[in-house]
Amino acid sequence: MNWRRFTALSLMLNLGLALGLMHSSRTGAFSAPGRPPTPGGSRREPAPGASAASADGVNHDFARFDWSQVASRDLRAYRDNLRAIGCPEATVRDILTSVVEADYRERVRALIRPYAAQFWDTVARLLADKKIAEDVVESLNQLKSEKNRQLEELFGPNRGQPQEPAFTLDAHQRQLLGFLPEEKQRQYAELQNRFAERLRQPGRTPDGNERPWTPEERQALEREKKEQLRALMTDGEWAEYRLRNSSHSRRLSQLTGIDLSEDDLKALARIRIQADEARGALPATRSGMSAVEMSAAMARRYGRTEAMVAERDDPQAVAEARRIEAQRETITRQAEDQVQAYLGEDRYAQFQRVQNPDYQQIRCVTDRYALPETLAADVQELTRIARDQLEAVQSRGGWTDEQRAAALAGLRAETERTLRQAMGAEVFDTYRRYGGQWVQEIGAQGEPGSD
Amino acid sequence: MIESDDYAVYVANLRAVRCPEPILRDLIVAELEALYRRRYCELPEPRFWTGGAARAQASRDHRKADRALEAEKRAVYRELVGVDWPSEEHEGFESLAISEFFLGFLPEERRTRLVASIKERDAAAEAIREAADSILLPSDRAQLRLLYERWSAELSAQFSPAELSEMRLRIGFVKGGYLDDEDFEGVAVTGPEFRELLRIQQGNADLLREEFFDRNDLEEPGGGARVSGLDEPQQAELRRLLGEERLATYERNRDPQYRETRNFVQEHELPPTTAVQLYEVRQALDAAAAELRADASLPAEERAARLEAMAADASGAIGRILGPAAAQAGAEQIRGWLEPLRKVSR
Repeated sequence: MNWRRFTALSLMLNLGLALGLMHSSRTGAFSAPGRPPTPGGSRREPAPGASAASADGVNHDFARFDWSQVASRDLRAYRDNLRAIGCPEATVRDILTSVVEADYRERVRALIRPYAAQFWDTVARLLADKKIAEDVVESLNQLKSEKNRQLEELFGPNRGQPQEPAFTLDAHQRQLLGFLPEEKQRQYAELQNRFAERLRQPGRTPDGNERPWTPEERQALEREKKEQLRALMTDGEWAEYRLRNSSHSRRLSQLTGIDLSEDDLKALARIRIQADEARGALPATRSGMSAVEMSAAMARRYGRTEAMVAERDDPQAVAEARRIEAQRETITRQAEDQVQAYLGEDRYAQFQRVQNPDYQQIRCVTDRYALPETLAADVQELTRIARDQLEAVQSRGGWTDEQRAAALAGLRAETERTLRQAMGAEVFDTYRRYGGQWVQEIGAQGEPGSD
Repeated sequence: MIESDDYAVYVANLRAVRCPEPILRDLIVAELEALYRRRYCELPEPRFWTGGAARAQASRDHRKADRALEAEKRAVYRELVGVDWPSEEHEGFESLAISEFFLGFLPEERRTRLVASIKERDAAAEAIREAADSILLPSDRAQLRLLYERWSAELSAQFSPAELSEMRLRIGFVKGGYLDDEDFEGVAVTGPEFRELLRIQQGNADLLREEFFDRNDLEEPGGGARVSGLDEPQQAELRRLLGEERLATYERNRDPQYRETRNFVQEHELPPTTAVQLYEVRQALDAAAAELRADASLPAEERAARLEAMAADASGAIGRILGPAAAQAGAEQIRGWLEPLRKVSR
């Protein structure tokens, strides 16, 4: 067994993590609440290149003050001395935190230094004795706990700062809720915070012991949260919230290659949400139906005969599943008709095209070269033809392995030649790196060419 | 008042009252973190109902502004305090320990400079990738290569050849996955020996460069992947370093076939020596089979028959080593070992 996977110090031996940690600059910094503004006014925002203050800029009111008058080895005394000279509480906390952190940083260095001084010997010893690593990790954890305890002793729980909210509005949520008044945004965050907190607390057995939440309890909590969110908003706000919060809105707004206005995005999202709701409102399935439904749908999609499904499953259930599936298909078709009626024929054709992942990938590449939109459409058509041919070669019966391999090799060469001709050599090479890997893989071991 | 609305005055005041420099730096870090967090939150977001290219552009602008703020924060700190933004110290004990362990051979200031320069380099690389919408054209690749070359030249100017060589070796050590205790089972090495072994294995590869190139989806001009395995001079150096016996054990430990065999033996709770016996049978079998396949003088049917017989003999030998219980329990896996032989022989 490779112990590297199982010891925490092994993390130290992972360059990805090592560099990653050194690289990470402020992960999560924006979701955490900031330090309260320093009493006495916020600082003027400095511009880069601003020169450092000259000695003349120094305030001489405290000319007779020296840091040694407040500094103390006794941290409580240090804290009290700072408070006594009127140092703002947030700054007291920053100063003492810095002192404590510096002390513990030095302890961490002292812990690691002997190992670092004998770096290669340590590494060689680690090969034979994994306990060294485990001991170091344990010592680090102990130091971390001691440091937190010390800060708690100085400033109380959570270092005297208000409990960090578990939920604050991140950039995406600020954007999502931009239509709500600020007060409602705050209430939204509080509500989310409250429910997140409830979920963090473990459930309780009747005799008071901790236990994990059951899925039903989680669902009930989600329902309750949804009801409270609904109560927070007016009808109009709730409609807008639901529209914005749907996956359809997100997907639609990310489509490139078609200009969709705010009205377009809303109208299309609304049609799709309504279709979702209509599908969701179909008759409730009885126990076990969903699996049967799925197998019936899969059978149709992949061309298996219904007899194969019926043989294995309850025929009555299959008939019911077929009926529901037909209703679903009708709803989907009606929604597509609505989309088509809204966009008109030409834009609908464009809309269909831009939803194709192949097209999106090709478009990204042709856009980088500022090539005309029509080229992306032409290339996508060529890839569609090539993929159809690939499927035909793969599924064709009666061929030996050699015959199939030869056909696939021919298809790959022809596809490469056609696409290179259509796109130009450099653009095609770029496409092969970004989305067009499938061309090289035709006929290779594994996807997509081999069977 | 020591505090001032002007950071530069604040710093000067703190220095005037002989505030210890580490505390001063931490106070300024806290101030700048809070300030730039606010400024980040104030960056204009793309309107919610914006679609397509306009949305993508707005997101790109947002990320660009974010990077600019980060760079500004660091520049302001450097301007105010005179040193680079602290790196590992403010990111937890683990990263401090990592830095202390791996870069402990460098003085602290230079260590901080190194990390800061990596961050600056990577921010610049990210900006290039971002501007390219993550689809790199040859011109973007050229820019990224140039960025690396410049950074590398700066590094060479700032660090001694010995420091650079040590840095590369240590990075290679973690990147190359050399610290696998299974490789060294029964192979005792000292620290200097381990370092030398690593140096031999790295050869001329510049792993700092490889790391950057891999991460940025670049390729060496005219090059494919680096050839794996050691060339003859490297093998000879390794032999001199470890001696025949340790080298043989080390190489065996690294052989996937031995690892598979050892896992099998462990799974069936057999003595560790069984793994070596089994491995030797498998090795001998492979060698004999290869020899037989290469013998063009034999008709194909004759060759197939001999391979089949070889597989049957090997099956018997393996059964005797394992004993009936383990042979039965592991029958399927053993068949798997012999299957390639039989497949070819058919």
